[in-house]
Amino acid sequence: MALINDTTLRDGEQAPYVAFNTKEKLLIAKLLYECGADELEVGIPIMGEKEREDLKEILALDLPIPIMSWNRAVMSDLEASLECGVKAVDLSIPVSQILLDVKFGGNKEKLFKNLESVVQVAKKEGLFVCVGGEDASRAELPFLREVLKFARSIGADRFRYCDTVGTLSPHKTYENISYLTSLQLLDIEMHTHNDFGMATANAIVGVEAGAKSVNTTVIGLGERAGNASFEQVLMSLVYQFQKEKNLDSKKLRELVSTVSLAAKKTIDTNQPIIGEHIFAHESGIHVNGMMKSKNAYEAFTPESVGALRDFPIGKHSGSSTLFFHLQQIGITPSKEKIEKILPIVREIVTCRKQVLNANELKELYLCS
Amino acid sequence: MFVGWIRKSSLKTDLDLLEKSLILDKNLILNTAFYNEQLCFGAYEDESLEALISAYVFKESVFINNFYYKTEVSKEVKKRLLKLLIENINEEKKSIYMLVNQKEKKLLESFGFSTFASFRQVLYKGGAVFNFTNAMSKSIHTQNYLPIISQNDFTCTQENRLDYITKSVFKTSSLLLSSSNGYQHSYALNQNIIKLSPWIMQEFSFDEAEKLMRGVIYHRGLKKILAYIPAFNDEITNLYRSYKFEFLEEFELMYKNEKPKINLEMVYGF
Repeated sequence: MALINDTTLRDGEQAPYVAFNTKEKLLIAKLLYECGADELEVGIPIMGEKEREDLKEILALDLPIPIMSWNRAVMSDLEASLECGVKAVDLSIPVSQILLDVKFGGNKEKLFKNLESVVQVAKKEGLFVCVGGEDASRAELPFLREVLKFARSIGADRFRYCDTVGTLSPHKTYENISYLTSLQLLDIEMHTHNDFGMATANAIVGVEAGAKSVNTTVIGLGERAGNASFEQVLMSLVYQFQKEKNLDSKKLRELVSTVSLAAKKTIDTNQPIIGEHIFAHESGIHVNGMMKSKNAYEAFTPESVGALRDFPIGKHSGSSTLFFHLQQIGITPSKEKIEKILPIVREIVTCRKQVLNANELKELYLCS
Repeated sequence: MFVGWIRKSSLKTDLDLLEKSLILDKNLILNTAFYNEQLCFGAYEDESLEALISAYVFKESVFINNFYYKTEVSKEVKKRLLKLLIENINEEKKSIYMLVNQKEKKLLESFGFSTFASFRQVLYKGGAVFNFTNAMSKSIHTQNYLPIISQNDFTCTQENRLDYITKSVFKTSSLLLSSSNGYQHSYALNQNIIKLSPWIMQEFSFDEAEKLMRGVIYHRGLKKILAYIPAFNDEITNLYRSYKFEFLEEFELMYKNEKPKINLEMVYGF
């Protein structure tokens, strides 16, 4: 089953207006391990002394999972990583014609030569090497084949397929990744962005097409619209693909709130997996179904993600919701009276745009 | 050449000097000398330690756990050391056992030792494993490992070696990985070499053993990893081969008196 290589502390922090301090980074790294991340990408050592110090502190946590750094495939970047003592590096190269022109004047030979010299040093130092294909989703597949073949020949261990500008659709992702995995040259890692809201979907489709690992960030934090979300990919792998995990809902909540606070990003109430209202059932038909079976309208339990189930008394509520709440507060309601107050409940909620609480319902029932 | 009790007062300095010409299990020697000094002997040329031997006495057996000598040390001196040790062990029934290379085999045979099993020295220098899952990691970082060591080690050796393992074998550089079916101890011999010893698994625990193998390579894989493994057990040798360990020198586990009751099917690292 696919590995989660979480990059909250690298690509996540690259989100605009976001900066983590050392204490936050250490807590996030620890929580990511506890929540089930298989590998962490935690920084860009060439950025400077402070970044390197932070990376060393993360390594000093001695988490029993692999810790990786991000680098351009240039010697200065690799040297900065080696100074930190990481055991694994992502060495990034542009692979689309657009970025090759911008960064290498279209000179592919120079690109290969640079990559060869850097990978060879990294392998000599015994590092795990992932070659990061920047903008791979806009690259020509024959060129990607050439890159993979070359990277394998010089000792690289993995290829990161980056949908850098988030332009892939799930179908296209499946086609491309199926092709690359069928070459059996290197393990493929998915790195997807959310510009069209498809980051998680594309990451998962990549796994279905044979990718061995997935980059994620907590709450989908990342450049522009962000990356594939850690919590969504984790839950998908566990529930849809039976990945072996011991989910700790309390830790997951702590991780999400820590990243949310550190990044100053609020979480939408309907955010998948972690939104406050994703287990709130209002419509009459759904509530009726949920009363009969808790599996009726939920993909997984609220307990599994540390959330609470709720039946708000709103415009779409039916008699089942009213019965439920009145019974909860010790009233055995009559069907006639419920039928009578239901239109009133809907009118109140529509006018004030706020659901009723149980006490308001009780008063309405008793006074009607 | 003086051959006699090891000089405890200068042992650390002596070992520091000896380490310049040999790869030593320095901490094991120091710990053995600390807890078990009556069975530690050295050969000195003037004030310089040239060779040493030590043993650890268990209830049912005696393990000769250190035997080091400079290349120029003569056969005669090695023989004197071994003789002194065996005389002081003074056991006619208890199994006395030792892992030796082919060059030392004849010396041991001259003292009545026989071969119990052939071993191979294996060495990993392939870099770190990276595809190492979170679940795998959590499954081999058992907090309460002492009962696991105690139970599995006893099943394997028919000895209570817990005291020896925790006091003499454990070092500051120790990494202990374990699952319910066994434990694996590794430690630094020096800045470049990690030794896997002991590594004991219940029989037919191949999957668990592989998890521990991936664990130690992940944690230690940037250094060389050295182990001594039974040469006849395909399950064990194949595991090492699949992780690209090089098979080096042949060794033999030799014994005197009773045959040791060690279940070698459980020994993934001696």
